[in-house]
Amino acid sequence: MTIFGVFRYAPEDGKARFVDYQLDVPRGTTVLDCLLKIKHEMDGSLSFRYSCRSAICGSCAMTIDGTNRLACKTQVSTLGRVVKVEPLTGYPVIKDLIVDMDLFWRQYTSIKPYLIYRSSPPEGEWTQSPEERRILEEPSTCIMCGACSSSCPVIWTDERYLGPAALLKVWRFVADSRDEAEEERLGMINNEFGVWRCHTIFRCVDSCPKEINPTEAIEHLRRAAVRHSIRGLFRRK
Amino acid sequence: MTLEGIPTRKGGGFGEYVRRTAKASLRETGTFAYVMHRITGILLTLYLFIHIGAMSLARIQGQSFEELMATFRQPMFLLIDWFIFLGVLIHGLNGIRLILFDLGIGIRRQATIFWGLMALGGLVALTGLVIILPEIIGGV
Repeated sequence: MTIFGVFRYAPEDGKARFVDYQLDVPRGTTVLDCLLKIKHEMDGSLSFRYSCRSAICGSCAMTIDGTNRLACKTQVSTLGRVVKVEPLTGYPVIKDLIVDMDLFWRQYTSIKPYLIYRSSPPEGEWTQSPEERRILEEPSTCIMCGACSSSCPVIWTDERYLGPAALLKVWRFVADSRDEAEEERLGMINNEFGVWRCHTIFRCVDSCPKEINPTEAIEHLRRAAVRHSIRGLFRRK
Repeated sequence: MTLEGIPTRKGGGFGEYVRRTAKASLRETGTFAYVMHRITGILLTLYLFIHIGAMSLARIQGQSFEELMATFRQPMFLLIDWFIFLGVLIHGLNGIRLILFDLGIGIRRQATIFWGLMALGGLVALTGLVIILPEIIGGV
């Protein structure tokens, strides 16, 4: 028997509380399976986001036993007898486990998450060498679930900080051999709300369900920003 | 959707930030290192001000440097010195760890590097304690 302490919040009454649900959990059951069982059999008013059930869409990111994880990927057998389920930290709660991700998407869109090129694109396929592609392998794996940004203590206190997800995405385009907006991108992040706000806490790394290392991406960007600034000094002369 | 009309914002506020960070620091090495760096940083800054204040006060009151040093060689002050030394070690060694990451070294082994450096710091601190212990015990 596993007890699920689930965060409940209804905007109608404005009260937040934890409600316990007891479930028999067979091996191979995920937290999402249990939440669905609670919703279908015990309390139909429980609200949470989910979609693909295979750790690709990122919809079911939530705080499970204090760590941000995907409910569909988290096996209950890896947790204790009492499992605490909460909405992602740092975002306003709409209802129960559903948070308003507006801040996350604003941060994401602000960094222009698409290829920018000044010159004419080549006709036909735009090829990259295996080495050039390999650099993008990890940052491209991001499913934008928000687990990293939500776990970052810096974002908890200052929404102006871009956060690990957006910065990882900046690195994904700065490192892309086809992108021609390095200067513009480094200008976006070379400030107190960009890479220099990261305190190297590694919570983003610990919470990423796809085992991406956003801190490493931020460090790559820091070095690129320093190189860019030094180049800028010489250019002015 | 605007943020208006949504009363609950989990994680908002300094108190909530401290509570959540402290809780995470018990489980995660990176957060523990971050918390220790802040605590030791604040304590060392406070020490610096107390140190400057004490030295200045002694000079104003006409105490000689030797008299002041004699006060600071009392067992209680030696023990405080050792704790300051410990704080310097934790803060300094973690600072080196962060510089290594900035240089692109060891970021995928951050936890191992932290505990390795703390073990080194522990050894140095223990050696220091062994050296000053006779003076502390002898002075009591």
